[in-house]
Amino acid sequence: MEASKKFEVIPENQLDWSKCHLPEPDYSRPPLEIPWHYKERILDKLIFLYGVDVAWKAFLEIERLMKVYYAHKSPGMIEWEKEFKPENRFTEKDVILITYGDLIRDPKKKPLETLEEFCSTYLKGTINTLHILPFFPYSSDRGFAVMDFEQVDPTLGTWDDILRLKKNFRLMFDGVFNHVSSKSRWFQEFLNQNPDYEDFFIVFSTKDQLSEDHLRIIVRPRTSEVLTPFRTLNGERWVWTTFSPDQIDLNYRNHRVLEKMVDILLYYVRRGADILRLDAVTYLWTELGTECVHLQQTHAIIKLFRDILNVVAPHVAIITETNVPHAENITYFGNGEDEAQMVYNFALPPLVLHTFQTGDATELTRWAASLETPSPYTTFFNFLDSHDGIGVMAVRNILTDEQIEAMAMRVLEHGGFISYKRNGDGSLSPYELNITWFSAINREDAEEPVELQVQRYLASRSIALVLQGVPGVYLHGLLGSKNDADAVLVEKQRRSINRKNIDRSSLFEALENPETTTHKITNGFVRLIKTRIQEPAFHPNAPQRILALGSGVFAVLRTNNQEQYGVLCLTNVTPQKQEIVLPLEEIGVSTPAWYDLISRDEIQVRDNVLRLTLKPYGIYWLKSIAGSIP
Amino acid sequence: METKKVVKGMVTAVVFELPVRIEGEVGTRIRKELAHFVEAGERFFVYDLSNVHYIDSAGLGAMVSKIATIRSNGGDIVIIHPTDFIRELLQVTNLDQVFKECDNLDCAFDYFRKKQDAVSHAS
Repeated sequence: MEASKKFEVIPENQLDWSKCHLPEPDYSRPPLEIPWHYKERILDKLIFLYGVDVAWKAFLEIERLMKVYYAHKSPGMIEWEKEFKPENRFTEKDVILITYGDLIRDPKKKPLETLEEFCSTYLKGTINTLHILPFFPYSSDRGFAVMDFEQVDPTLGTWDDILRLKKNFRLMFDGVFNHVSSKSRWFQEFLNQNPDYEDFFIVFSTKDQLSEDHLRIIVRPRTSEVLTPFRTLNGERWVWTTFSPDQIDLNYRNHRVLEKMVDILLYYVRRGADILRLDAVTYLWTELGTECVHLQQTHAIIKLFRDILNVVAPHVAIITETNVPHAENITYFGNGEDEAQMVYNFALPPLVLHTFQTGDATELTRWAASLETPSPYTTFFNFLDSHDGIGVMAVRNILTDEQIEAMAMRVLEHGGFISYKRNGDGSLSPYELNITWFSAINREDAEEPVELQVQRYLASRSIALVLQGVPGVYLHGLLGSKNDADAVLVEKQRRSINRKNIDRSSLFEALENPETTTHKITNGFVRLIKTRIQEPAFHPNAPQRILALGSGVFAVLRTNNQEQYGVLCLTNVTPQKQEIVLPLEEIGVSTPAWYDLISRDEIQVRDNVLRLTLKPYGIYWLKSIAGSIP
Repeated sequence: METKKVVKGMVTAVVFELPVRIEGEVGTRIRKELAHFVEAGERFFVYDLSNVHYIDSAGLGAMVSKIATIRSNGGDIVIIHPTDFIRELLQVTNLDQVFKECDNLDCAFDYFRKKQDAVSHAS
């Protein structure tokens, strides 16, 4: 291999990802040299986690793993990465589709091939990133009880199918690093009492070793028992299971667990991951006598992952999935340069839902005005729906308990369900609302025109498209799917309400038929996305200003500082018309004419006052044609 | 399905005596009658599940189709006499946390009375 050969730097969309990583490591090249300051950073974190003696051992292994990864990088990839600019990691072009690998089914094809066909046919040039939910062999929780981190579930396809998707899309992989399946080899080896796996899990000899005092303060998202008994070769053991008896928490106090996960993290990068989603990362480190969430050790591990990626794969971003109160959620940004580049904006879905349920944008406006990220290298993942329900933990200190309760009751009225968490005092609180976004926003038994429902739906979605951040949409959200309540009863899982498998030919027929709600929703949605990705004022780093224009309207001004113009985004959150009278000097804009990016209609301004009428659930994305933005 | 208004002391409640199967047309009727009574100002409801052996998803949806309005009016829905099968169904859907379960109609009225008193004290 000619290490010194100069390679032409080619744009990411023309990069052949099948050649970015070599199938075999190339040890003829000089090995990776980790910069000193990164060595220090990594070592500091390992010392914090394990003490000096163990830290050295762990460091040497992690260094080895980084060198092995580096030896797999092609020279072309190394050259390409040199041009990578972290502040432009995410741009207005980024929109993420969340989907299971097998949500669309065609009996004649592998599910990942069907997904590729759907995405290439309908989403190319619109959505640029696919988050394929865990696609590894699993035993429960639809992929989140991983049995083997390094294989593609053969019922979905192969690593080649994943690589084929990468030709047209960036990929987000799940790092389900908090726990493994009880059927995984690692846990089976623990049951066999193989000494290599004895400390891989958090184990107690008796249930009583976890006192009532400890239990009372542990924060968990489930009502099941935290300790699950298992029969091992040497008798019964009680094992820590935050989520379910089939999902066994890993013991990160054992440095070998951390090393294994670094190995898997880098393996995912080799297999094409551009974004690594750290699932349920809040619960990574367990310390009796604490709440066992958000511990400093957990943050240190995420920061360690970031350091490693910064050195060997700087183009790969970390996103943390932490369904917790907003103030705690954003701590995963770290100082803006040392932890996650993106965090799930968990408060957004319940706030948008509350807004449309009540026709009042006051709370959403107040909260959005407070949003900020610590650096140009960090941003929010603005999603409204996902494979899980609508989490409500994030709005615990934003909405009142009464408002959350009322929201949950309306979700029931719309055919959804509520999942609860157990509090320290034994009481239950809503944890997430299980419902599709379409059914949450629209009432299926309402006697109203479908056009109004489509408009209401698109209005709600537009909010996630205009706020600072990277927007995401779950496949069922893109299609406007309704609740699948039957599946809840059959599968005895409330989350099944939003996980219906779709027949490929029925879907394609619906998408081609302009009379169907699916066509109307998807077409409208795609049109909004296509408008967004053309507009630099929607770059995640382009400034935003939230305007209070009355309770019936959510208003955001995005500005493009380089070209000195703004985009004023107005969303009517009510079924009534809303009259807007906005003296432009109040927002520091003097622009004689605006046009709507969506309809291309021109809006004339008289006496420097913008006057317009928003139809029920109407949307305007008004771009100033000339003038100045301060 | 039979629906009747029952008055005990100062409390009025609407009792739904539900049939063996809650599905299809029965669900539609529950939805309509519940809407009718809520619109008429009723706040307290009882689902008597003694005879019920099956509820489909639409039936469950009908039973909670006015829950937000009822709760915001200071009212509530109580269930009585669920079979083990129906109780399991309610647990799976977590509706056992939404519907207050009482042993019988008298117990339901005691609960409503306390709720009514609490609302009048608050106002």
